[in-house]
Amino acid sequence: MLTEPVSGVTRWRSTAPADIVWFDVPPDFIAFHRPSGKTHFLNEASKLLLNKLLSEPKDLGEILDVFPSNKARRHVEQMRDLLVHLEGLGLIKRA
Amino acid sequence: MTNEQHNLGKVSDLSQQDFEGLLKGPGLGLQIGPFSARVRIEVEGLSDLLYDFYRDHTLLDSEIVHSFHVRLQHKRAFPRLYRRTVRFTVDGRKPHEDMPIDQALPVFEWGLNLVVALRSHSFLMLHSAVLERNDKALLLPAMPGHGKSTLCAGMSHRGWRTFSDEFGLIRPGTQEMIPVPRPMALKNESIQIIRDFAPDAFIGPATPNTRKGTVAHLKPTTDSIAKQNTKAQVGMIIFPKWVKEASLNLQPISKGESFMLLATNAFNYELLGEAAFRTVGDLVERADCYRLVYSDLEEATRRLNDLADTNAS
Amino acid sequence: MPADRHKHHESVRELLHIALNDPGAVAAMDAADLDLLIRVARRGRVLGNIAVLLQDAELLDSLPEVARDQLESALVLATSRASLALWELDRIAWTMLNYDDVRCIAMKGCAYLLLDMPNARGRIFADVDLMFPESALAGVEEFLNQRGWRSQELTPYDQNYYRNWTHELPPIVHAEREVEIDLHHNILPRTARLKPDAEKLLKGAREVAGSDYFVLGDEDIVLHAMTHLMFNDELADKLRDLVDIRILCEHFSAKDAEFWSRLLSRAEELDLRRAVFYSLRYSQDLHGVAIPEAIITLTRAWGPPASVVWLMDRIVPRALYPPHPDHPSRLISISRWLLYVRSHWIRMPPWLLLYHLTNKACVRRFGRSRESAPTG
Repeated sequence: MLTEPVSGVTRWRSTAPADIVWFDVPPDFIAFHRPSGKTHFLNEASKLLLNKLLSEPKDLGEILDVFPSNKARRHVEQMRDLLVHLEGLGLIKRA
Repeated sequence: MTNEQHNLGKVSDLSQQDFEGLLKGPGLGLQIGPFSARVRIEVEGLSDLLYDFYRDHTLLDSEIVHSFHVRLQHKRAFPRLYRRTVRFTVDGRKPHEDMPIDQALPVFEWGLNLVVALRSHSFLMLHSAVLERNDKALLLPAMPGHGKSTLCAGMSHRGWRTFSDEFGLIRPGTQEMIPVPRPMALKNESIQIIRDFAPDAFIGPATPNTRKGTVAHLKPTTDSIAKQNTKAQVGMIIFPKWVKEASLNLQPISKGESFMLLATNAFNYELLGEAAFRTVGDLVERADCYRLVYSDLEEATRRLNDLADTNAS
Repeated sequence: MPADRHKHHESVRELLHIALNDPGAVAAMDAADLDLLIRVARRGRVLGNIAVLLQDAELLDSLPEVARDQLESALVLATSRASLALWELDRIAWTMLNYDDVRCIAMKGCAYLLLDMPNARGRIFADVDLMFPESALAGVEEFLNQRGWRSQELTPYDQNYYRNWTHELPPIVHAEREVEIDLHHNILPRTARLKPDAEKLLKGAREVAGSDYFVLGDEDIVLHAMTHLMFNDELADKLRDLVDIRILCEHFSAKDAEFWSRLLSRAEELDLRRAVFYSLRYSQDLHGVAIPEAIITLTRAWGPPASVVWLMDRIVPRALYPPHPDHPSRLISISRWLLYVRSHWIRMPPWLLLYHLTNKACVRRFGRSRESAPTG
């Protein structure tokens, strides 16, 4: 499935806080996304992204900075894939 | 305003003849949990069987609002006139093809399941057995082939009131499960297991060669039907799995996983959206959640009885 | 007996008319009438609309619980479908942000939702219908295909039927969701005998405030609904579509006194007079539609020969309105069959019609049975 290309300066932000209802049962974080009516089972990292990190627009570099051990190449790709996946679900948008 | 005012007593207050007459004629009104059914059956022999299964159920008169009108008719299909079939219809329309006449009872019962599942969206419908003991409900969510029905049937004869073997009904925004007592479908080996386990249980004839193999139905206990208006909050959610010769193992399961299993197994979770999300969240938060692996029904029921009785004290 | 059957048909129509106009009267109905109403409203797909009327009048709680449950159930269904549709529109718009500038016109249910029309609430919505300029259609389909929307698994006959015979595109669905999307280039299929000018429709389209989507002009929205009902459909149980037409007309004419005359001019311009004639004729007794007498008079000339009108008067209501569920009627079956044939006749040339009907008959006879729903 094709998606739009991600560049170094692509920035993302979370969907509006009111769009998501959370049910936190660590280690699981269950999110109901109102616009799509879908329920998502997320881990702590995703919750952190959605709830805190991306309340302000950030690009890939800025996001990775928060997760200190993730400068290794494959983590960059994983993070990019995660962001694109979350974007497809409508949980984050490009800013 | 409920249909309580139109309660005409129990099916057993009617003679079998009158019962059959109603089924063949204008239709019989039956209260099944929160549903007011109108039933017409024109298949020889089936009415006697239904009389036994539904004898403790409440009769309703005809001047009411019904939840559904269903009918089972005997059909002969041209050009194969030797092939006798039954046709299940709801409001005059058939949701599936006609089935062989020897499967009349399972077709009727599965038909009722279908109607309930398709149009009862003022309820959240979990795919789960629900039982009650010490005023607390237990959910046994369904996983295909894992033996929920057998365990449910067994427990219903070891001191548990049955709400349903199939539908975990709850109104969104509330916390109480709602009984829908109906004959329980037992399949294949389970039939003999339950006959042995509960010799006093009323089990109907076995029908071979259905889509699910051989099927027989177990009548819900009189107590389960008598208390069909008494709801209960959930105390435990147990995901059961029968494994041949396995030793009993009861382990806590995370709330997150419980939520996921309940939600993905519900009949209408997605349809109800946020209301379903919140209701399942409440259920999972309040209840103790476990996985159960078992092979011996007696041992499993004893363990669960102990657990329920311990929690109650 | 014939008199009784007719009586059943009449009582169904009467109950529906009452329910679609007077929620107070529904709350006052006796149990037997309410029971019948719920059954036929469900079949006619207007149970949700009736539930909305009762909800707005705060009368739901005064109904028997079993009735309330069913009305609430219909509302749940309607709300769920509407959310799914809006989300699908959101995803398509998001995907097409990077597509060449092309107008995407939302039609029917989607248009009603985007415009927040009075008939959108409680409406049990089906597919997403989108219209594009004909030249852009293939490109859009390809673009969406690459981004996860695929044609359903259709039989080779169906694929062939869609692409080579009707020259329409089969519906597409996104891999992660279940909403079907129909891509159109006009308000009627290519093989239909009526051929409204797509250019004119596109020109009349306007943007929906706060959305990436366009909708057809007011009169075109109504004409689409009318044409779709009377010229693209077998009419069976399509009461809901007639109610849509009535509410659309009410809404637009209340907004603008010139609506009716503009509707008629546009119908003439696009050569859709017959659809208007029929739609107004059969929505008249739904009450609520205050169709000006002058308009009725003008459209009278747009009907077919009197003998055809006579026949249609007898068969159309029997198709549109649901039958009494306990009293089947041969007259109703015949009416529906006639309109079924008619719907194909007007949608495709005779040779295609024959091919299509023959094939469907064969599939029904020898094909496999439909799956039943889960029984657990």
